[in-house]
Amino acid sequence: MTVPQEVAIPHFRKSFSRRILLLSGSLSLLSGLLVAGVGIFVRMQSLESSRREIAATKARQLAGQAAHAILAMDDIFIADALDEVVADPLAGGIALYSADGQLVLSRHRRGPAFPVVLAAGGRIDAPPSRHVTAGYVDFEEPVSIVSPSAELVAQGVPGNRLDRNPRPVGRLVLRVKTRAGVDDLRSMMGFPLAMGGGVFLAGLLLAFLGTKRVWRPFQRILRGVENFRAGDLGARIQLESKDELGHIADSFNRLARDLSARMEELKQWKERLEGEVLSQTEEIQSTSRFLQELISPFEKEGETSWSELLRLLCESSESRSGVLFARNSGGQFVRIASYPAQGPPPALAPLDFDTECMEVEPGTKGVDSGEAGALSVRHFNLRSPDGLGGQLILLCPKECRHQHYLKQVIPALTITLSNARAFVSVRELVAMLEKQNDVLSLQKKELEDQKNELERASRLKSQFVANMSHELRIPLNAIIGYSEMLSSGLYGPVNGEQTSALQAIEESGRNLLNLINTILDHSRLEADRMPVYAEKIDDLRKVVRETVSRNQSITREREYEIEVSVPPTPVMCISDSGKIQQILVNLVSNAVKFTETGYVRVRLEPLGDQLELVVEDSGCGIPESEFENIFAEFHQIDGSATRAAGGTGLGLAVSRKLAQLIGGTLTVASELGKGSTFMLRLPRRIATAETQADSII
Amino acid sequence: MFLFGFFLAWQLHWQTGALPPVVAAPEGVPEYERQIRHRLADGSWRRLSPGSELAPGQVVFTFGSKAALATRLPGRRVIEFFVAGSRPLVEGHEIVAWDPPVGAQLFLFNEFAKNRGGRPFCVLATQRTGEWARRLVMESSGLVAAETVKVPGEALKLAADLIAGRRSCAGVQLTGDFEVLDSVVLEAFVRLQVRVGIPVFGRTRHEVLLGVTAAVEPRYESWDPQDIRAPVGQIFYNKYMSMWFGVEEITSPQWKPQSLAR
Repeated sequence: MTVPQEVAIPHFRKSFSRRILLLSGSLSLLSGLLVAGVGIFVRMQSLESSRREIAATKARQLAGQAAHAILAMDDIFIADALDEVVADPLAGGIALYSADGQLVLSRHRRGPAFPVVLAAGGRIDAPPSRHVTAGYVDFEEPVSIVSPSAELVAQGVPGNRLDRNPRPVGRLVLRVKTRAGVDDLRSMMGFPLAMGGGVFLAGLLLAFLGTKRVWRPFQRILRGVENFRAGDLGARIQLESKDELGHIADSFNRLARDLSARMEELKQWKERLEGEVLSQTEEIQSTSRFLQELISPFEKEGETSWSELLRLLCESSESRSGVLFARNSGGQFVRIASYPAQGPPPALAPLDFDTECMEVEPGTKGVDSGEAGALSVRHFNLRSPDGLGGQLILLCPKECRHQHYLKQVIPALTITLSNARAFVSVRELVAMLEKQNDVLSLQKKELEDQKNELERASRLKSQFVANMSHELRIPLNAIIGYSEMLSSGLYGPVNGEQTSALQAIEESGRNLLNLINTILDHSRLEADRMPVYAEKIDDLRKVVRETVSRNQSITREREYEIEVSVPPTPVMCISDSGKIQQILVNLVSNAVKFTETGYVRVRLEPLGDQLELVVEDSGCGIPESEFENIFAEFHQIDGSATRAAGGTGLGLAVSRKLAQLIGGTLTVASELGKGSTFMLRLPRRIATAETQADSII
Repeated sequence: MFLFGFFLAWQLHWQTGALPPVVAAPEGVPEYERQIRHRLADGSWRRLSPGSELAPGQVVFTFGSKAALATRLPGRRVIEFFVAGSRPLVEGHEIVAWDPPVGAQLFLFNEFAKNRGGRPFCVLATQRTGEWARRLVMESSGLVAAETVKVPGEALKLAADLIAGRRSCAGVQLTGDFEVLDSVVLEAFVRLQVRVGIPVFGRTRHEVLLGVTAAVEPRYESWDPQDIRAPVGQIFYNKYMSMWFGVEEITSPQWKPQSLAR
């Protein structure tokens, strides 16, 4: 056995001995300071006490001599004594008060002045007293005099038989500063400081010696502990002491012995546990391989290799053979794997039982007679939440030491079986959905083709209408133009009947032209071929007025004229004035058309960033249910009035689309029998025309 | 008639001389007791006590101012002794002035006048003792000056002035009027001797023992009511104090100086 080398005691920066020394030194210093402080305090107190006593004595002596001065009101009797008293640097002064309390004589040097009358309530015959006045102490002494009859004295009466009762004649106040000052402190601190210093040094010496003595056993303990810590389990503290340190050393030694024994036990335990851990590790690795095998088919999205799983399970559990059954939808057990895979399958049939596991004796078939007694057949029900999914049957040794392993892997096998069933179901469902998806794709493609065909037909229709309208307008213009020229007499005189016929032709032509224009506009709008011309309109009021003025003629069969209301200042905006005029004409003509009597008013109002153009009439009105329908194409409210007025039913539809084209809205409010109000709300600057408008501005 | 008149006068004289005088004096006063004790013992005097019957014509002696003031016997002959001044304390009393002989007093002053530097001796006088002081001044040929005081405070003021040097004198003779000379004044002047360096003279040997330098003590030699005489005097002095003031020894066959020392 090798004896461990002696370990050096570590050096501690804040060692215990240093702390003891510091503590002792501090206590010594404190003691020294305390001694010095107490010494100074006592000396100062003594000084103050002496001063008080001296002052009181002086006051008493002076009081004994002051009677004559008070009675004669002349300090000459005690002038020297008074001068001597006040010459003292601590003296503030001295005062003599007469029997009636009046200040008779005083010597004042420093401090507050003496009052001319004895303090209220102060009696001259009061016993000696002292009180503090502004840092000074006033020593008051009654001044009395013994005045026996001088006659009796002169006639030889002895003093002891004379009347010796003192008679108060006044009061003496001696003012002295008794409190010790800095100078006194300075002069008196030498000795106490020296004494304190001596105490400190003595304490320091004792602390040093004591620390050394205290530190020695600590050193031994420390050495023993360090040796033990360095690995010398046989190290013990050699300390024969009956005090606390001895107890610590003894405890440590006992602890070290116990620890050595425990460490030996631990060593044995460690070896045993290592063996067990190795065995467990092998088992875990088997489980892991099995579980990996369980998972791998799903990761690869392939078929589960039940034969491989069964092989792993049998090999890991040291089973001779095994069969895995699964239940089909009809509740029949179907063998899905067997071990060994080669050769005929083992003669193991499933049993019906309710528990998790059942153990039965093996039959003679396929089993050696020598091994029959050492083997048993174990049936494991693979039960999932959906019910019994299958059964695993193993032919394994009776004393199977892989029970724990089987308990772990059989639930996993059950889940895998259940997952395999679910996997098959999902795969079938996906196949069915894919088939349906193909059918839907075909249907979608057909619908898209039909839609494209319809759109193309609509565009062709609009184009056709636009072209046809254009072709119609040219001859119609010619009809109107020639009608006008004929009626105005350019081609010779016409009589009254001819004129009225020509006017009818012209009016019908104009109506037809309007109708065609409207259809043309509608066609353009439908075909997205209506252009927007943004321009700077310096004064929208002017546009409104002129539009109304030009169309004032439509009221010639009415008893009213169209009223126009505009703001007093110019209203500038950037928009398409043609579209605005067209909308306004539509609205006004509609209003006039349905208003026999009453009024038609046009009002322009700026509303912040927007403008509102309102056409209001007192006509027949529109029922609320028709508010949206009137803006539909070719829609007319059914009624005699509308029928009588005529029209294509496109005016309001075109107006609303035009309003939307220039960024506005067209709405209606009406009450049946009272009139209607159409509101065209426009932005001051249309969005699509910003660039152009900016260039214009 | 002449004979009858002579008879009555003789009878009165006989009766008066035959009756012992009654003495009113405070008890325990040594000087008084020295005069009274043996006379009371032999029956030549009687002590006046409250309620005692006095025979017609019986003379009453009072010793000291307290007894004089306390004795009020109208119509009876009362003679005041040991009271300084020429006038009795009580109207109707007679007085045998307790003043020292002027000659003795002047003798004493002359003894201490060697170093006086021309300053007079100051005699403290009161209204009652003014007459004696005036005589002293008159006979002193400038050696003495009188200072009349009415109350003890004035006496103290004089002492203060002397100490302060506001006034000066060669020595002070205290008054025998104990209404002014109280113990405070006496003590003040006793202290003054040392502080100022001048002698102070009292009236009795007891005052010398108390501290004054010297005194001429008046001494009654006749107690016969029919033969009343002024007292004679004897000098008492403190030899140490006297020596301090330059007077080694006082000798006088007439005034029989006696040295006292405490």
